[in-house]
Amino acid sequence: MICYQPEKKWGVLSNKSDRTNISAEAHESAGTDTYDISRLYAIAADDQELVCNLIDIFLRQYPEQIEELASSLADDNHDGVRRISHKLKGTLLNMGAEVAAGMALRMEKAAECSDIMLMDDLHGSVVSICHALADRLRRERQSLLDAGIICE
Amino acid sequence: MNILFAEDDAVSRKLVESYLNKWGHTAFLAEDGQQAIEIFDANPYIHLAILDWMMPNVDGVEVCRRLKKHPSQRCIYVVMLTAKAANEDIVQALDAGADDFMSKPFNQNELRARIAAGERIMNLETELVEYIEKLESALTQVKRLQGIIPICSWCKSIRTDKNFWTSFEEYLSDYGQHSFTHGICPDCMKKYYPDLVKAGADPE
Repeated sequence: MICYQPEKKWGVLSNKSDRTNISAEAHESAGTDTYDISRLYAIAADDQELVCNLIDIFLRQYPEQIEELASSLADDNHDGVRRISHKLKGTLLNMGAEVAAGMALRMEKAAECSDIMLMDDLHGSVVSICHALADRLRRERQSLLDAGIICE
Repeated sequence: MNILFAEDDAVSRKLVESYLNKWGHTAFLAEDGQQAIEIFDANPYIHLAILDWMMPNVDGVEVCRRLKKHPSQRCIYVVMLTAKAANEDIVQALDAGADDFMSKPFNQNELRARIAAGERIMNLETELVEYIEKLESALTQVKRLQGIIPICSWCKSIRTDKNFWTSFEEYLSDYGQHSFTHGICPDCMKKYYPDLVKAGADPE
């Protein structure tokens, strides 16, 4: 297996200040400004009911994934971190959240190389970005409900 | 078309299910590799499978291998769906018997086109199987006529494979798919209808 080299692909991360930059970037992108809800509508071919279904599934599924990620990290189970990050990446891509998926990809690659420091750095960012995305999706769901487009 | 979709991500399952229904297919959804195999075992009319590579219990490549070597020898078209796209991964999937390969995240138009391609190939394969069955059946008939046929020296009845004596016409009708129309040859005409021959009747 060719091991992931974060310093080549994502820029030099070997010193503390660079790692801080990555973290800052991750926290910044956790804001809803980087997420374009129209991506989700495009994926769902503008089917509002499907959008609502996907939001519901994501809101049910992601806390479990976040929890599994945390417990794998706590247990130093790098293969578990890799597997969950990979799955989370797929989920986020299907929700049209490319920036968040990119973060999960970094986590997956860091786990492949057992880069504990990077995994720790990214963990908080992945959690934040997922929570931010969930908030945005809840608002979208509510607006669909308010508009009478979908029912509870 | 009945399509098996195996993927551990619920969002992806819902999305693909919705696409497949929209395109007029019936979706069979599996949450992991083991469930995919069980669904395939229980549903003989599944002819196309879309399998995610990384799944719990049994991964997509192993599922593909098992579907392709299924005891029922059913024809199945397999599309591997994965974020992996390195050459060695593609080779591994194709070695396991995969017919096609799609990278994630997939585009719905690409998915539809690949399913349509799979459907065309499965239709051709089904037609081919039917033709082969017909051909084999025809060859069986030909073989029967090629062997030594026991015939009665006196009445010319023929003994069949099942040890029954049957008339020559009946035997040829059954085994050679010929049908008969009855006439009379000049020698028999002379023998059995001499008066008619004298009166100038033409046996032809």
